[in-house]
Amino acid sequence: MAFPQWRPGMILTSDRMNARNLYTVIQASDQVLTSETETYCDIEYELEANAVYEYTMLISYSAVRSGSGGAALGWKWDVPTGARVERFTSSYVQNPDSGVSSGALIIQRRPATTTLVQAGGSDTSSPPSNYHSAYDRGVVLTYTTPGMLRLQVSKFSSGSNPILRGGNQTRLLIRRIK
Amino acid sequence: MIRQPFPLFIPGVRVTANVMNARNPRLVMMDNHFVINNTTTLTDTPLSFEMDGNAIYAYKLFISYTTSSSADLVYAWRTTPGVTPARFTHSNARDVPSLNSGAKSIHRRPSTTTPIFAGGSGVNNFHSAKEEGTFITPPGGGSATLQVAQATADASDTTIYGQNTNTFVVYERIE
Repeated sequence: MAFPQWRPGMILTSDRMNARNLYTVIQASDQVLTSETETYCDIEYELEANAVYEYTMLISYSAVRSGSGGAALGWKWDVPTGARVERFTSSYVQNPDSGVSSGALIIQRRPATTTLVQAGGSDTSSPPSNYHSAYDRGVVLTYTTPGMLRLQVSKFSSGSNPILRGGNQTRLLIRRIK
Repeated sequence: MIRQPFPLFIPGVRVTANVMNARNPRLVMMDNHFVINNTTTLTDTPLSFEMDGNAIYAYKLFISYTTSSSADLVYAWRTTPGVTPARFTHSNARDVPSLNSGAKSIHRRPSTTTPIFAGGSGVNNFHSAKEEGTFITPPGGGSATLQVAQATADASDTTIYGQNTNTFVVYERIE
């Protein structure tokens, strides 16, 4: 059943009118990832209980290819108790050819909520400067506990540091659909 | 950082047709095919749309094209000054061997006018390129127009397909 659900005779409230808006959450500034331990970034959104959200996570990043001593960017989700993210991801392998437009083998996954997914870069020296994109789309389902949906990022392996790009870059688009 | 959605309703506000229509997704498609050859100069396609001022739009672009592997396609945006996209692109790398061979993909976050490669495998083989993201607009609003060229000038035709919603943009105002 779609959300919000309208019925004849219902009072039109601003809450219900706003309920289906598409929200944007942006990463404010670049975040250099220096650790293989996942850390939070600016991408977070408050989820209601017993709800379903459709989302598109557009990740902008730079990384040195693993063959040149770099580490890929890793990302996963942190959710309230009982919630899960049904994710469909698309991202570069760790060691693509060098060059921003060379292209790469692509990892198409359906990982679990907290599975770290990698996105490799095409730079050959650090700091990396080629802007690439990685995608995570799907739905978020919450149970009885409301709370924050948070993107966690890290350096996927040892090597020079990847950068999560901020400003007019990384963004989450999300809306409640049930 | 969470941006304010659009339209934002507050108690007591009048519900007008304009407000109700404001958040509708809009479809822009090309009415005709667009053909280029022997050129690496970016040229305006008929795919163009207007946006309000001081706004943010979410968009998805789907490009349907054919091109030889010796020419390949590139595409970019021409925008009114201040109309700035956050582009997230997904396209074939250059020189695709054949229609169903598969190819490396290019995932980029390029600037507005950066030509993005979309590789082809022959003038009769239909491939697709996708782009999504957001547009931010200046106070006066403005437009965005899709531009295309060949990556390498070639006598064979590079075609961007119109009609039957082949190449199109879906966009909606979100702030």
